[in-house]
Amino acid sequence: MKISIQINASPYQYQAADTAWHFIQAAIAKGHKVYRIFFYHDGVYNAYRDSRPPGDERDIVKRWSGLQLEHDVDLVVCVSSAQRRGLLEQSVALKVGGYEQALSDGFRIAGLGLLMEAVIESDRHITFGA
Amino acid sequence: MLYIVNKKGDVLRNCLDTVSTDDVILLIESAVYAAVNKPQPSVLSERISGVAIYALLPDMRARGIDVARCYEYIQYVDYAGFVDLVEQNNPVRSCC
Repeated sequence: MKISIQINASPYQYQAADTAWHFIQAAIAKGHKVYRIFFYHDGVYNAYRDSRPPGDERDIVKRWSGLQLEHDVDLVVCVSSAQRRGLLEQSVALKVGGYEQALSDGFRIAGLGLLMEAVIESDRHITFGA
Repeated sequence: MLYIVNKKGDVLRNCLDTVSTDDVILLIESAVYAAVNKPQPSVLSERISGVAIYALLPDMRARGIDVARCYEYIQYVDYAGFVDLVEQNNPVRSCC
């Protein structure tokens, strides 16, 4: 089964990112393919490179980066949600004078077209929200 | 259809108003509190015919909810069971 995931809530404040993580781990363990994770609304904070949780806590941002590296999961951050919150793609940041390293490794910025594509291409699309 | 519900208030009530025969509801996160029937009954006190209700066990354990305090008709799954429910039901609707 090909699965896509949508995360609409910020990490640490809500359980959505953790629930999605455990669901994805179980799905991969069963041999399913996680095609794309689309980070929408406050979910874009899951991609924030400078997140620094205490050393004995789970690092949600790094966890996503590791998932991309290990399982080639496409991590897509919604461009308009991200720009509203000051998370800019490097090329945009260079143009408008913003912070150039906002996104953690493995994430990319794109529009809602990729959310629609994920819904169409996948057997299931699961949303985790606040 | 599989309804994934993560809150026990209006979100769950709206879901219960919408479901029909052969639908499945999975309670996750804070929605698992609705599985509890002691000392006070919850919104799930009236069983809906033909609708199976599951609760996510790890979220129950995280909230200290004992299965013995819950409605007997509720079934329980871990994350692997969550994946199975997603595989067995189409479409899937997240109520959050």
